Amino acid sequence: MSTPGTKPTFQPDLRVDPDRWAEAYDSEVFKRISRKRFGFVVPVLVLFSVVFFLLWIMQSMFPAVSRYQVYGYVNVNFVYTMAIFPFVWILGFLFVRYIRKVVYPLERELNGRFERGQRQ
Amino acid sequence: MNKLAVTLFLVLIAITLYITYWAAKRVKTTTDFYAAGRQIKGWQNGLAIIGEFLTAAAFLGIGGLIAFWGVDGQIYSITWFASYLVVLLLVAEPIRNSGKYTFADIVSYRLDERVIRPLAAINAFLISLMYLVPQMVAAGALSKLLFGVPASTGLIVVGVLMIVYITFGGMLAATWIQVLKAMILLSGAYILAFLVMRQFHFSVNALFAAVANSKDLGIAWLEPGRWPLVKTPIERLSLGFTLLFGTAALPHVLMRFYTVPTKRDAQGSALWSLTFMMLFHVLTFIFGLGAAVLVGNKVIKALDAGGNIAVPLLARTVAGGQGTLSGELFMAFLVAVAFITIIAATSGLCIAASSAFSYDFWFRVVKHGQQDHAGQVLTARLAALAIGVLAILGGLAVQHINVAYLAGMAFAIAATANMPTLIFSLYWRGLTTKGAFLGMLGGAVVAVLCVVTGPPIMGKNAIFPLNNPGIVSVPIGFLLTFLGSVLTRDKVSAVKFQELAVRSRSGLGAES
Repeated sequence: MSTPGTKPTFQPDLRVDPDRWAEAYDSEVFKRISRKRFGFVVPVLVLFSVVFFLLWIMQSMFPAVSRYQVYGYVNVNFVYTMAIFPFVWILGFLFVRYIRKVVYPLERELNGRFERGQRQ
Repeated sequence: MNKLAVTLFLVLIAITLYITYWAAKRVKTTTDFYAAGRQIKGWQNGLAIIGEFLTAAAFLGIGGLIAFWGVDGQIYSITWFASYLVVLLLVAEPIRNSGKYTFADIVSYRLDERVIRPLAAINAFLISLMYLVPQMVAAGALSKLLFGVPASTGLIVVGVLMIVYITFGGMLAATWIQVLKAMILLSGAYILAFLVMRQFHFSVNALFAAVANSKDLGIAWLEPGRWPLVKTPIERLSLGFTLLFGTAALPHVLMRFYTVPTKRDAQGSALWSLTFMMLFHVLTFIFGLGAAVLVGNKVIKALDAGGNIAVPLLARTVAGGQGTLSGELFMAFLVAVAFITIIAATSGLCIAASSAFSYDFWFRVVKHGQQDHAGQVLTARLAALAIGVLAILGGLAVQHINVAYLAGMAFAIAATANMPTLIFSLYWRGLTTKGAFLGMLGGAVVAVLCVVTGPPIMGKNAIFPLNNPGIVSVPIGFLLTFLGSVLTRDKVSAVKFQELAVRSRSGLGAES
């Protein structure tokens, strides 16, 4: 539990000097963090949006396709809808795994560098 | 009155009151009250997050919708679920890294706090209250339907319990009640799905065949396009937009990411919530179609035209039928769980509304951040009490009016006013205070106008043609924020962007 206090606490735990945020921002390692993050997030968001909104488009504009029965009474609409669940989950899982394997080591490097800098 | 359901309900209430008693002894600081002491593990927070979303609308409403209108009702399932990917990719970790307790912490971080924080607080307060009041009204209606007690009695019981949970136990009690509720709800859902599918030899095709060959239903129940609300492509897309962006910017959902100790847990909890949401929402078609076939639409409609009774009736049917102990017991169990679901959901909304007032408005704006922890916790408790009373009175005042549009309005405001500012705050250097102000205020006004002049309120005389305004209002919200920013200058915001970017993307200097 946190310790009671009387000070305003919006940004209380600055482990680095406030003046050094710009330095951290301009550092090569932070640029790599941003590149790695967005390099994964942007394509995933685009892929997700296409797959997700394609369902609505198919339902609305191509009803014959969505009604096409693939197995007994099970139609394309149902298969597509149910497939979105594992598809989205896998995207989320891959994102978390990627961030932990690729981005977190870089973040530790950045944090270590600036925390060390603070102690000197 | 269903005595079995009331007994089970009282047992669950006793457990939640014990949780509140346990939590109350531990709530000493503001971090304890608003953020459960940042002691919640990722999977626990994942359960608590889905607890916020598995409301009566999800548990009872989607089943009824599918029973009456066919697979179109799955739109809610798929969109609420998918919105958590947006949360995971864009907001969960950055919010935990850069904020302290509330949504306003993030949007006012690099902007003029005196201007943005009160506005963000008002937005958060209104969104939470707009979502809370229909929940209270639904609680009253359901208590009449499920327990056979007057609607106003049910509404007051829910309101009083909500006040007790939040006033004494804060976020810690709310979190553990959500965890308990989510676990019971998921268990109940899987037992129900098992019992339903047993009737069809665990074959989806056999269930579908029963629907297609039913003389009251037919193959149309298995195809999209029956539900009038999403009849046109634009309506369908717009509902998707509103729910997708609205969910990711609801204050009571965003607050949950402050309850975990690290960014890793914040990210983990978003993935856990995605997992639990999937586990629940893959079942909703079984509940809806199962109820339509095994209970019958006419029977459901005769008891409740809204369809909320479909799932409890299905539970009774598949567990042995009317008059059997197993059938009545399982129905009573699901009825009790449904009611606990509502109380837990209202508690989450209550704490979001009270923190918007007590922390963002009172502590940060009125007190200029100068108040000790005891004073802050007292203010937060009084705010929760006042909001609880307000919600009860509001619910009682409008209980005979259809206020379901208020929930839609809450989503529309969150998607239109909050989401653009949140995204631009975190990812765009060019955001200025005036741009954010214009986006938040203008976005809220646009969202409200679209709903007020739309079919949910004006019916056939609607000026705005869509039931859900997202496809129009969300781009307007982004555009207003963008235009307001490119037409004005804000040097402080540009400089502070570097700090927020480093914090939000790396976790450097995050709250511990």
